[in-house]
Amino acid sequence: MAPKPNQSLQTRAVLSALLEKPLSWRHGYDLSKATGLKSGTLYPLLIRLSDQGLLDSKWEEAEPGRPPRHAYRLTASGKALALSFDAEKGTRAAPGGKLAGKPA
Amino acid sequence: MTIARRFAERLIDHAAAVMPERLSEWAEAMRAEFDTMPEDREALAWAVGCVWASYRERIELMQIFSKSLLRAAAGFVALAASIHGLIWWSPRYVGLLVPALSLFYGGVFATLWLVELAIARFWTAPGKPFLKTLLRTTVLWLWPVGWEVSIFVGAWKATLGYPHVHVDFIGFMLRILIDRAGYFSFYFVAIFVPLLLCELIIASVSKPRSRLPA
Repeated sequence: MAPKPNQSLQTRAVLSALLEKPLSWRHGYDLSKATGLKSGTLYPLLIRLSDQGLLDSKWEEAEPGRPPRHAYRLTASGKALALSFDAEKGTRAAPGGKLAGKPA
Repeated sequence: MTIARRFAERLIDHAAAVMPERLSEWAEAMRAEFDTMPEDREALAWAVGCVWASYRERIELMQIFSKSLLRAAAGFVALAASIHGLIWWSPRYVGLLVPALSLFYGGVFATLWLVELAIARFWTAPGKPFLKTLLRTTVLWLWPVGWEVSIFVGAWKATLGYPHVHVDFIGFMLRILIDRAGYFSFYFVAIFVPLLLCELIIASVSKPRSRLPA
């Protein structure tokens, strides 16, 4: 059976890192440090997420003499997916059916 | 600029060259991050990762490494190697020699064929059509005769009664020599050497050794 897309721990880590600051644009190096993923793992994931419309990207002007940098943030659907993973994580962390993070 | 930094830059250039054209923006993105790194060691690790990412993307595009086909080919080779071991163990099974070699060559040739297709696909780029690249890298006419070659070598081996000479090696060397693009030999040798080693191990552990009828 083919594995479900975006279910890997690495993908979740990237989505979760992007969800921490959903409005700000993040760079690849910054994401690599936040998730502990090497560039060889991170970029294929970013490409995949971008192809699926879960990630927005843009070129940002850098300091003079430096090339522009690619920056990323979650799209609305990316944010929804990241939130669903977060909720799932909360459910797993709180056994007994009580949803973590939900008001009582 | 340190040697490590220079090497890392070469790696980044290579990553950009390997990355499929559709994703060239991502190669630039990886390079831009690389340029912000002050530490050489970190930059080198980043560059190695970028090469890995580019190859992953390029291989993803090939869609030629059918896992089931590769497994089937490997299965053929494994089955043939087992029969080989059986024959060395007892002459009663000598009748299996030709089918075993056919399986062996069938599997190896199929695997090599897939590898060549993949290599050709890998280097296919706009202006470098796939078929043209394939023709430049593969002696296509050799593949249909692979089975005949295997049966011929099997029969020859049986006639000689010389199971440990590895006459099949000649077939491979011929295949390598005939190939027009010299550097592809590397891939063939890289595949062949482990197979030969496996065969030698099987031969050495299969006791008592028997002599095949002349």
